[in-house]
Amino acid sequence: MFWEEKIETATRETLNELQLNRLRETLGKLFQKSPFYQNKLKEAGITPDSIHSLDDVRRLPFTTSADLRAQYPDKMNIVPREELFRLHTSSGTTGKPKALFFTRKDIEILANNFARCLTMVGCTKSDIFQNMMTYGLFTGAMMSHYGAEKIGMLAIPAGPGNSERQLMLMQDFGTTVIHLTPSYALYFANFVEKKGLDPANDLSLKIILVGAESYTEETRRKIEKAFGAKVYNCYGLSEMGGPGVGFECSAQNGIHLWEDTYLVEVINPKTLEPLPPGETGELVITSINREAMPIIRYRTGDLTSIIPGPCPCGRTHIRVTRFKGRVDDMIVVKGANIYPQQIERILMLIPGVGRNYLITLHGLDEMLIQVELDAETFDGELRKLENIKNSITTQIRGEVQVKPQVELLPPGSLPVSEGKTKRVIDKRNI
Amino acid sequence: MNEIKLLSIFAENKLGFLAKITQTLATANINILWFKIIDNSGDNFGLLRVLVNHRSKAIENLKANGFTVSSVPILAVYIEDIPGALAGIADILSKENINIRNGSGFIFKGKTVLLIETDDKEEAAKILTHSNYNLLNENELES
Ligand SMILES: [Zn+2]
Repeated sequence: MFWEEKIETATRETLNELQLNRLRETLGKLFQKSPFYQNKLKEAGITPDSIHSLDDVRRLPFTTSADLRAQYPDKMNIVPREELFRLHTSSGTTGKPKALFFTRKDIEILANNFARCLTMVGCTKSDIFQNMMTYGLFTGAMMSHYGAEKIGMLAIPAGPGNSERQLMLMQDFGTTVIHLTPSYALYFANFVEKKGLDPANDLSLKIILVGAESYTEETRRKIEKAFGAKVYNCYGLSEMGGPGVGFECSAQNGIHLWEDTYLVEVINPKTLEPLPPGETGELVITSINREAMPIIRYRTGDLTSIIPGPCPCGRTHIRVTRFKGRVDDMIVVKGANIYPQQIERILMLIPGVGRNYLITLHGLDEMLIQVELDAETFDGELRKLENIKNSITTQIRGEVQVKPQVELLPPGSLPVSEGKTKRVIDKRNI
Repeated sequence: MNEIKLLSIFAENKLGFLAKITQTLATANINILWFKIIDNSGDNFGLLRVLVNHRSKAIENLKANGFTVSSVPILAVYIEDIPGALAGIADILSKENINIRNGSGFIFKGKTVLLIETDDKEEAAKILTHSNYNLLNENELES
């Protein structure tokens, strides 16, 4: 199913031509109205007529998260106050947030893109959409809410948390589609099971949109199995307007990014050189259809690679692989570079392992992995527990070359936040 | 075959764990007839094996209180409270090449009961019954 079949399946030539025009328009506006970009572009030796082809994008300077913070509160905005329609912020762990402005048209484009995403995975106006993302300054819930409204789904702005009420809404109103974070999905499955219900049979869920945190294929399968529903990977970042920047199609193999709105590159985060399809690096996005605050070559910090070749779904917009974590998620233990995702992938494949884990770095460079057991497969035998522990230890050492300390914990004992779950704690005194 | 089942509860080596379990069972009006801590030195976890009078109710209550619990079968044999009773059982089983891996006694309604873990539980039960030993069953526990 398509929301806008013509543009979603446009030829490469059409898309590239559209992108080149929109990129040049964007740069033109920035040269006129953005002191921040005037300086940045001048320093890089770019003039308004420097861009002749899409390849020229690699001559443009990058924009970083730190740039956006430095321009707080409103120096990224290039439209008059009366054109501004919405302010969101993206909070960081320290310091000022990033202020994100949108015009009416900006919001309209994002809602429309999200409507494409929803339609792509099979949502229709007869679906009931319970949105379990955070409403408010965070873009996550509102943009997806508008997308659902655009299609005409019945939208329930439940917000996150209060699992008791979430379950009641699902049962009483027959929710068919939910949108939430992967850690909350796992937590909620557990919660429903504890109520003596089977999330796969006692609820009416068909489609689960999971985003805001990266997660592995194994986690996806766990969520699908628990709820008896299809799980689709939703990618977004507030700086680019929130969720629906990219979305998985029914092929469940890669995330389409809407190329009439974004210009997409993957670069080597160290050399900053663009990488060819198939090679993993940092996703860089240029917004090319945005009024209030266009952003050039934004370094997302997210690791992925471009998937070459056409998608069986028929959409021509670029596809990237499942996100492999964040550039800054990488931890170094005893000299080895480790992404928490590598560890998660192994854990989720070991029978008897439950849904939650925590990596703690402590002492003089030790790695402790705490893993919750799966209550269903617990058989009361010590030997089985020993086997689980040994599998974790040997398989992780094989993958990351560091021998972890492993602790098994009862299900539900590790903290689960209803937003982003912290997977790594660094307490090393080095 | 007459056998009973012990609760096997996943135990983190945390102070107060045992207290929390006994409290949970007491609140549910369940009697603990026997228990044993299986500690695994070097690991953060162990198991707690518990014999209770109402097993399903105990499981329900423990699960509701967040415990990870399963059941494991074991043989429970009535023995005479006289010297040599245990040796008698060991003797009979060893003649049939069955090892006792673990044994532990407790008093149930004034009678001595021996809990034994053996290699071939079914065979052991058959042999003991043939030798006129009585095996405790779950119904007796609940009565
Ligand atoms: Zn596709």
